[in-house]
Amino acid sequence: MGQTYAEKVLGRAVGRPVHSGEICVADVDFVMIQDINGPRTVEILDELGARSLHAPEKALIVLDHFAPPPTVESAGFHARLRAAGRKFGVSVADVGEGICHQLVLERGKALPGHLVVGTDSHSCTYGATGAFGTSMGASETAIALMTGKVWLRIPASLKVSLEGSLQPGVCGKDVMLALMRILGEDGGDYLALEFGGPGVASLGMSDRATIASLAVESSAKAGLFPPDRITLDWLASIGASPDPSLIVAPDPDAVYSREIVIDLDRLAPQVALPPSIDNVVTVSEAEPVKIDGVFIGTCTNARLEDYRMVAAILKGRKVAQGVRCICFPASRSIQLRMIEEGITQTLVEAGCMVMAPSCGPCAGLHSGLVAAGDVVVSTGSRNYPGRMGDDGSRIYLASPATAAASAVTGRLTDPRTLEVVRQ
Amino acid sequence: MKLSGPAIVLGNNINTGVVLAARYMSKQGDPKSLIPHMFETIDPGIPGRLPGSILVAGNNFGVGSIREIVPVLLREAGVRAIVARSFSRGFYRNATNLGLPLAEAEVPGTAERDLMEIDLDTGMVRNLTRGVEAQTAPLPEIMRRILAEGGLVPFFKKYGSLT
Repeated sequence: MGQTYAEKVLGRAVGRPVHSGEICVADVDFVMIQDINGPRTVEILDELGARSLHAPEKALIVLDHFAPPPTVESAGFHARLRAAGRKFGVSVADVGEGICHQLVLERGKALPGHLVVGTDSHSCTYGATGAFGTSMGASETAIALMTGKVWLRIPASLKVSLEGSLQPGVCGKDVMLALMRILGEDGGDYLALEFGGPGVASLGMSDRATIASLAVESSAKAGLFPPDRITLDWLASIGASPDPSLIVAPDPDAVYSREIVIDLDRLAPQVALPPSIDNVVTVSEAEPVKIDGVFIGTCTNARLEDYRMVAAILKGRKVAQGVRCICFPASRSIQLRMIEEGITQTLVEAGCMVMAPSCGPCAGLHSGLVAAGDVVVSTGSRNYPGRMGDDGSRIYLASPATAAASAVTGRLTDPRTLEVVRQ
Repeated sequence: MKLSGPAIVLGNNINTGVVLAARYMSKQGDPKSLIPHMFETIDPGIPGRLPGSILVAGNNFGVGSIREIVPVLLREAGVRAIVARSFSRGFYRNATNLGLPLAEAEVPGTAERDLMEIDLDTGMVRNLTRGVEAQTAPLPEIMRRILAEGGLVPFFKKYGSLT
């Protein structure tokens, strides 16, 4: 019987062919630790008396959620994580370097066919390059750091077949919101989403990272893009060399739990209405609510390609009176390119606050929380009540283009209704 | 072993950020000080009813962030077990790894404060108040062993490896 992509990748990690449903112990290729669950991970290493790690060079500690620390307590977390990095010989990406998942991708640590785990639920982002990326809690992360192994259940896979190609004003975020409408918050539970079909060729790595990052919002274990020419070209551009024997594809006779087809030719900009990410309609169907704020950032949508779309809409325009627009690039290298390309200039002239790389207010941690009654368009991944502050606020999840267009008009706006400067 | 307690009934897709908002992650000190903040956007009265309770939820309990503090606090607050029609996979792993018993079952008609009972050996879930029962699938071996030791860290301390 044919194997899914997930079965092939996990089979290598386990050391023998595997079948969905089996519980196995697998070797981990890379471990990412961030500053929300990292402190507990380090505490457990101490509790277990760990003196050294299995492969410290295959781990990265990232200080991104509390970057820079908004409280004395979180500053303490960072101090402890830096100390752990020194003690165990693990690299630490300090405040301002970038959001954890973006750094793992940029530094070539998520390679096709590898098992990459992280203490952050959006570790599924690594599926963009064809790594099996998935999230783990602090306890199992500590044990993975000590032993190089995790126990896991091999998931069944759900096939997402993409046809056609993305139209102007539409991007990866819209693809995934449309999929969330079909799947629902639990439609991917215990499954690996596997993306394929001719439409994948119209998705660059940035769009793939957006789509993969949101797999967890359907409770999926992973969101996988089997490597293709686009993957290999992107990896070459960052100087990463994947193992050619790990460039595999799902078998044509692989068995999937379900197949969902999405026609990109007919895909319009989408929005997830509060209070959940599966409460999706097209932006043009949604009521053009008056908004108070726009948040452009997060591991989902803060890459250079996202900011180019934002700048194209904001160029020569102003953020509407009474609306605040706060932007966070996903990494320092993106921040530098934004400066070089004049994007930062455009955003600041339009009236945006352009911040340093950080998770910021996505999880209500700092730098732009919201009050009762606030209506915000966010490029993030979650909009349950209280996510970004008061539970009387309302968060609309959308693409960077929709967010930028809404910032200009002061209402939830379809970006295709504004003329943009083609770059 | 049987666990029993009054039901606290919850809906579908209960996000871990709704069990405890992410912003409390910057608090230090005794995790128990966070218990009053649990479920505060659903019903601020829930923390007072958690001791000795059994949560009875719909689909996809625990979707969202995989912060271990969430099952830790549920346990510290005195929740005996969680019954749900389904669990989000990240929470399922975390709760198992923290020794919090879960039962994937649907017990229709369960109302607030109904007396629930879970038999961890047979996997039978009962609503004793209404006389309704549901059979859960047997837990995989490794999960039973982890739960038996009270969690992954005690398991690892005892056996020194995952196998």
